[in-house]
Amino acid sequence: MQYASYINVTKYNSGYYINITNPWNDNSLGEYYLYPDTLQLPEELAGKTVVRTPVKTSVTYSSTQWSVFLELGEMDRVKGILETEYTDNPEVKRLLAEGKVQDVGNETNLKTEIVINMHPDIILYTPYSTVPKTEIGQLTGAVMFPFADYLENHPLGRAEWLKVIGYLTCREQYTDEWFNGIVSRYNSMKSIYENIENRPTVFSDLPFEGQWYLPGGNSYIAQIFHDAGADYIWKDNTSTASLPVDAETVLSKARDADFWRVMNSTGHNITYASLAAENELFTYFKAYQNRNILVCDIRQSGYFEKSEYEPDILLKDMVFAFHPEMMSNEDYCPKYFYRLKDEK
Amino acid sequence: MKNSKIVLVFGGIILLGLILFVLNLVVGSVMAPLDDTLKVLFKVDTDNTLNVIIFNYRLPQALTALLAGAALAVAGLLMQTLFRNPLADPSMLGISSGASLGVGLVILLTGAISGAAISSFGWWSTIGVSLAAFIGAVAVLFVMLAFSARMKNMTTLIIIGLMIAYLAGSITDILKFFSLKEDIHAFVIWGMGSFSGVGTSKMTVFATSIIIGLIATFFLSKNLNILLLGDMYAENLGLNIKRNSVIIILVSGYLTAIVTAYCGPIAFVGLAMPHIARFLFKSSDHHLLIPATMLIGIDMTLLCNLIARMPGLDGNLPINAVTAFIGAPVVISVIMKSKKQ
Repeated sequence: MQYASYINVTKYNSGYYINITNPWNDNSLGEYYLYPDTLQLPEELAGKTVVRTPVKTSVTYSSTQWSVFLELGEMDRVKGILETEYTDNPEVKRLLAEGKVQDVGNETNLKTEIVINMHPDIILYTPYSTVPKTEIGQLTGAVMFPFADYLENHPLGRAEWLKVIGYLTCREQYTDEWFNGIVSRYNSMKSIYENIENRPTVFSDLPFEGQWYLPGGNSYIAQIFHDAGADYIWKDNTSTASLPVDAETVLSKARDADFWRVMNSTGHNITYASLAAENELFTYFKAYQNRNILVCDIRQSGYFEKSEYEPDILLKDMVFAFHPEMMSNEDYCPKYFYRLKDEK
Repeated sequence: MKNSKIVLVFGGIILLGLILFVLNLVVGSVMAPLDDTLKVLFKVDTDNTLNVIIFNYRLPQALTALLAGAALAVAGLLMQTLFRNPLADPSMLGISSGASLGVGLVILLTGAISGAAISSFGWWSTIGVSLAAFIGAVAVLFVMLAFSARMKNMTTLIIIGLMIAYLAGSITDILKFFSLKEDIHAFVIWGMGSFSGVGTSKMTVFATSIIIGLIATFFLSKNLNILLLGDMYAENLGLNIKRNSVIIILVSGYLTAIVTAYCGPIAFVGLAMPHIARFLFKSSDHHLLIPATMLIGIDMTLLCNLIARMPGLDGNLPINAVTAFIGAPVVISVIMKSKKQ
């Protein structure tokens, strides 16, 4: 793979061999042989984990998985999805209402009996530990396939996971083209801005009870800040996970930052007034005073479902905010991150 | 205890409180040279970030800790006297759990019903959460009072309190099961306890509510002293036991509920502080114990807030972890001492 660190794919006869690297210890989290169901299975694959492609019945844990099936027009291969209460996607809502796709609970409370009854041939799950998930696979006979996309720290690495769904549905030609398009759009924009001299500073997120959880300096979002020609205040930090930081430290380091990225998951609109009412401390930040807060409404924009496969658009949104003068001839309407306007 | 000695002990507690208060303002994860800190301490200059940190972040936090400490400690004292039980306190008798359930109902159900997280309701969310905490706390207190009228055995009463806490906890867990992730997250964070939730914007409401409750406790001293003599004597002295109990319950429930709503369920302060007060002053006179317990409670929460925000930590420790860490040894030593006697 070009950008993804945890997927290794090689051609195997008329199919593929996929090895998923364990993100926590570099061992393998699982080895899979994908083989077309129209062909006789080679004898040497006896005893190996084989997925016959295209898959017919699958259960997906995360919206980043079913959204690729949806884009490919292969949603009839998905029978069960998790956490349906968080999606506003009209197509998925329709499929749920018609009973073509079923809600199978959530991560901690899977509706096991319903999943068993679906007889899935593959379950795409989100790995949270070094130990592969096996229980539900043993109960259903399904292949358990770890989708470690969220652990990739490069925006293009995350996007590259869409190819996996391409292999599973025998649509690899389409997904290859799709991914190549993302890469070329992302990289051509990045090449203009990543080393730009005039770099506004930026920090991120809102605190919970006085405690900020900031993206690490090597995280996905820190990379996008860099590629969009901005200086992330915590860029020298080496962590990929989020950092707990006290409010007073954030204030002392980021008070003069030019921009402030805020994720809104409340389901209501954020305004400068609502931020001030929530915490008076916010009003001392320069980004607040200069009305340079970048907001993403997670629900309305479908951030979790779609943004992973549109890192080029995320990048463009950021560039549009950080360097509007460079894009002045373009009448651009940001999709995920927009500059919060003054309500007055 | 001689009057002069009482004055001395009070002076010591107040002095300690003042030192802790100043330390709360001066010490934090952002460390500045002492003379810089002293310079900004005496003038308000919002262009200076250290100044903003001290006056708009550390000061409201220290004030919240101070008020919460006084309120929780005195609420614990009232309950220990009312139930004539040295182990009575908001968390032991299920009152905190009642308040938590109230808060849980509001935080977790708003999301489920309206589809939007509670934090999006701004001002109303604070009022709603406080009110729910109060109703939950007082409801449990009345249930406990009803039981205490029937059961004279205090161990039984504590067991019932624990059972009510479990019951309230399980209802809260069931609510969590049906709630949105953001709301569960908010609820879990709230449950860890924090003095930073009040801030400058809600300080007026919080401080006024707490001070009203604290003043009310001073009027209860005489009746609390009479209660200590036993119901028979109290009635003979013309005290209306029932009405008196209801008033004590309302005041202690009110104080617990306000603090719980704003700072989360904070354990051990209410339980341990009255013991320290009795131990230091060797007295059971509430004219003395009420102010003493408040002041010791203040010292305690200021100390905990200081520890929770120690420089070198990457963030704040949950207040509940710190109060329990300091409170638990106190409770154990009190139990050991009373067994020896």
